[in-house]
Amino acid sequence: MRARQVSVRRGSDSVGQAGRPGAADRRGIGFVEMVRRANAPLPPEHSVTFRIATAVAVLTGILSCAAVGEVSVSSAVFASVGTVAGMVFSYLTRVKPWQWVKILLAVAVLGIFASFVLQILGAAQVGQLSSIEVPLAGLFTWVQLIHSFDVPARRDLLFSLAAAGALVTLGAAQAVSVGFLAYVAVWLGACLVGLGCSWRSMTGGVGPIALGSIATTGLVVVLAGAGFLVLLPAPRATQLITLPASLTSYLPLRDPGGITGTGDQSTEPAQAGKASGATGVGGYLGFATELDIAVRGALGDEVIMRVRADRPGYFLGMTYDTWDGQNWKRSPPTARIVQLTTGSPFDVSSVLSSFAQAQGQMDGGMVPGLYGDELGSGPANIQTFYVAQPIANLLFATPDPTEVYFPEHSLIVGGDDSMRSTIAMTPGTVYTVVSTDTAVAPSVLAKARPLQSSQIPAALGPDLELPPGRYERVAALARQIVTAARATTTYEKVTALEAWMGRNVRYSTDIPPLLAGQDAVNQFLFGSRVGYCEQISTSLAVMLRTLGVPTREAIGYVPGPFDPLSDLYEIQARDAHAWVQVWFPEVGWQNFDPTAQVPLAPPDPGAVLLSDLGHAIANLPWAPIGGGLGAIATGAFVALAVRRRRRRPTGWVGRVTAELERRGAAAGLRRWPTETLGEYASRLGTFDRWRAGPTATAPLRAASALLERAAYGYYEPDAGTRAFVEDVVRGLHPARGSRRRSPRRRLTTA
Amino acid sequence: MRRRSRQHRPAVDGAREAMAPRQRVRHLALPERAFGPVAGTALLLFMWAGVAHASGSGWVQTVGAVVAGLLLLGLVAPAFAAPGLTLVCERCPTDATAGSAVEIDVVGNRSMRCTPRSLRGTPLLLARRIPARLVIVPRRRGVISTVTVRVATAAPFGLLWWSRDQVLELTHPLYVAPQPLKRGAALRQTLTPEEGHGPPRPTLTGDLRGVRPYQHGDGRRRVHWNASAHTGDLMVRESENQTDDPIRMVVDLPRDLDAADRLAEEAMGEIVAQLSKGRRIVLETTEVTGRVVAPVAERLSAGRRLARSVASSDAR
Repeated sequence: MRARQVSVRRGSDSVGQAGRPGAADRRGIGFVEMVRRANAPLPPEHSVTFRIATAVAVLTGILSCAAVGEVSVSSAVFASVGTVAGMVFSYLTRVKPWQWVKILLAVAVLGIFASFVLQILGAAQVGQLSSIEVPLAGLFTWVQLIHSFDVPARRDLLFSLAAAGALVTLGAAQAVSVGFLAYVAVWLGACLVGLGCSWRSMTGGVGPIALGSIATTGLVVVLAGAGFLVLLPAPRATQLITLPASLTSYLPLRDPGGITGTGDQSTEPAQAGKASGATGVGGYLGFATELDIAVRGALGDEVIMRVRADRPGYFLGMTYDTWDGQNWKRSPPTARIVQLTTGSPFDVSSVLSSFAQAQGQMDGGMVPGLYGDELGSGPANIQTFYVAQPIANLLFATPDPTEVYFPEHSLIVGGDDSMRSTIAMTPGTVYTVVSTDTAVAPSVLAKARPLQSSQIPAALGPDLELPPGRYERVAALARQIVTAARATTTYEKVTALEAWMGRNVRYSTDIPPLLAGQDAVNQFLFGSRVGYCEQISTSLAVMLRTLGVPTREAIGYVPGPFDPLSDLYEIQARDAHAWVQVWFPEVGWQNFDPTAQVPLAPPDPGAVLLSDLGHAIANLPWAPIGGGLGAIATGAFVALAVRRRRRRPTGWVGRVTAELERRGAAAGLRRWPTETLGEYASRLGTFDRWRAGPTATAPLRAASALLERAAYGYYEPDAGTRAFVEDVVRGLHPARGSRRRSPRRRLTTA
Repeated sequence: MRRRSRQHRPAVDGAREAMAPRQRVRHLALPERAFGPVAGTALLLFMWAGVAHASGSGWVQTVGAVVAGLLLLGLVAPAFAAPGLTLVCERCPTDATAGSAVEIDVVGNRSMRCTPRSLRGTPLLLARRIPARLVIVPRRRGVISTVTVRVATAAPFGLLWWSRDQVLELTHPLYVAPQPLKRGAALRQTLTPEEGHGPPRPTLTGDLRGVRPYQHGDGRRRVHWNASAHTGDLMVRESENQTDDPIRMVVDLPRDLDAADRLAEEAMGEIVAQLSKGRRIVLETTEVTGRVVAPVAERLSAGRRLARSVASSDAR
């Protein structure tokens, strides 16, 4: 028997009870000796698979950082090529690493670290982790590149694997797209293969790596990771140390005070959407000076923005106050603007408070004597927007924004509660808005006394105006509804009208176009009563105005699907929405959405993940998948058959040898991979319980010698010799009841 | 003929197995040195979660969850793999000497580390189904049929070792002979530990007195071939000083293991010394089957006899 002697090695191998020889040896040695031992050369790692897996993990980390912009593309390409070259160099010099290369690498690492320190000294801000993310990613990338030239041993490769994880994490810190999953998947696969190779190398294993066990391990890791993701609380924006704000391009606007965004040109002034004309960015016809509610663009699934918010809500873009029967417009008094030039963060609360005071609200919108203690601001709602498509220069936010973090020195705040940038909102722009989301519970609003016309400030005049002589039927309908509901206060009137619309109106985007000269509201309320959000909300606004309640049309976005992996709401083009803002004395504008019940509660990531998983599985293209799996199975079957055919013994020697091995294995004596035929025959000879007794084993040596001569000695046995050898082999039958269990079966069942 | 007899004082009981003081066999898989990996994992995940919550990035948390899954699997998976570890002895030698290393060919069903527990030995890392040599060092003389080994695994990542004990059955009994008590340089010159065979015996000494029929225990060199041919029976020479008569050695081991070992070592040393001088020895010992009186012609058979010997029933 040729047994392999695998001794316990030093280093990471020597763990465990007695496998840690250093534990006892460390007693009584000095610090210098400990350092010397820790830096002593380790056994070289010969596994090419391990090295390739490590290189893939490192490259994935570098490319993931490049994908999110933390490392430039040129640097990523250079580092990737250098890493591969370094891995090859390390493999070639693994047995005897070049010492002078180590010295050079050490000097290079010191230089890179010094460069990193200089960068963060110039750019880092106290408490702003994001300010050092880019230098940190650069540091990690270059250190990985340098380290790849000196990874002769398994410990070095494991270090590279861990550092690749750090790189992927750095990339993940800036990732907002689900496409990042590809990097995580590749990195995880490389880690699994690398760690599996490490364990195999640690124990002296040989042969190809078991892909089945790797796949099983990966499945378990994914399931465990999903469990962690579901169980652990998701990170919330309020826990952020830094509030992100960044630009990828700087495109000044032609009209800084206006609204831009036409077609794909985010720098061009926005044009009112027409059925046959240019549409707004993302397919929505709003976000312009006018809103024609009879025209609706084709809104798709493309992601416009991604939002991280503690509390999802109505992300307001702008409001309209003037209604002409078909279009909403912005009246000149409310179109006044204030340009803030203080730089980020912009304090918009003071500007909005001044607007509110002009509209008769108290500062902050709270009157303790009127509503008691039930009215107050909730915790800050921090919303970070990641722009994915060219959009209008509007900064969206939930109600009552107080601070805006925007990477530009000026910001415009309009009297219509809109916030506008002076540069184009291009893909990659990131900004953060902090809102108070003044929490006004329905019970509080219900306490508001019936609104008297004397309580309405003059500034709200446009919010009550209607085209003369058009809406007598609408007014009669509104009065009929509120009378039937016995509604006296503003809140009761709004809810009564909403309830009526819920019972009598149907939502559909497939409606016939409005004829020329027709009034949109009359056509909707007394015609088909089928429409979409603009018509439903406009009808509510007109009915409320006929009852003397100040109302305006608000447009913006509602939260889109929640991505539990990135913890972001993905706002798609079809999430553009219109709703109604109703003015309450001493409180201000409050949102009412008559169209639909929009889920506003923060979703449970686990439930969303499972739901999305179920939908994803259900929506998979099963026919192609089945075909592909069938093709793979067929290919595997063919490959297996070919492999077996190739392994099938050829020639007389191969057949007889295979028969001998088969009979020996049946007796429980398998041939070892390192055993020659003669050695195997000798071992078979020691098995004295063949059915034929010693007569079966005695000629075995002669037969094996003949086989070896025939195989390697240019010897062609004659018919008699062949018959002798075959008879010897065929005479091997283990005696009944004496069959040994094969080692494999013993091993697995013991 | 009994010319000389050395009789050690008898003892009550003897050693059956060349084992160290018995240790409890732990079949339950337990982690080894778990504090470091577990604390390191917890610290790493805590830091990761901190970064995830500080950056607010869901992807950081996702990557952290994947890393947590990796680490959790690395910590826990060996606990499920350890009960399935099986070590099988493929081959082991027949004879050994107390205090000297013995190599046993073993093969495991999975990659593992095995450490002899009942005997001293070297920890061995072995790959799945690849034979390897486990080195054990029996401390006492006796007959070994099983070895308790601690098998451990850290699969699939080598992060944390979980271990349990397994009783490894040898393919056949291992006779551990006592270490011969050294009797000077002559012993080292004449014997090598591996061979167990003595050098050529010295020629006969003394004046020839006559011939006599062959008796059990007579040396081959004493055969008088001419007389044998003449008489038709095997005849041997007799000398005046009769230096080649067999020495009868009676070894009664005491019950105390240490004392028995010391006595066996003395006996072994004496036997080796006498064999190196060409003397013939008839050894009388007590084995499990009873009293055994038989000549020992070489060191190997003497070692086996002493390995098998137990305390005699009439020993004090």
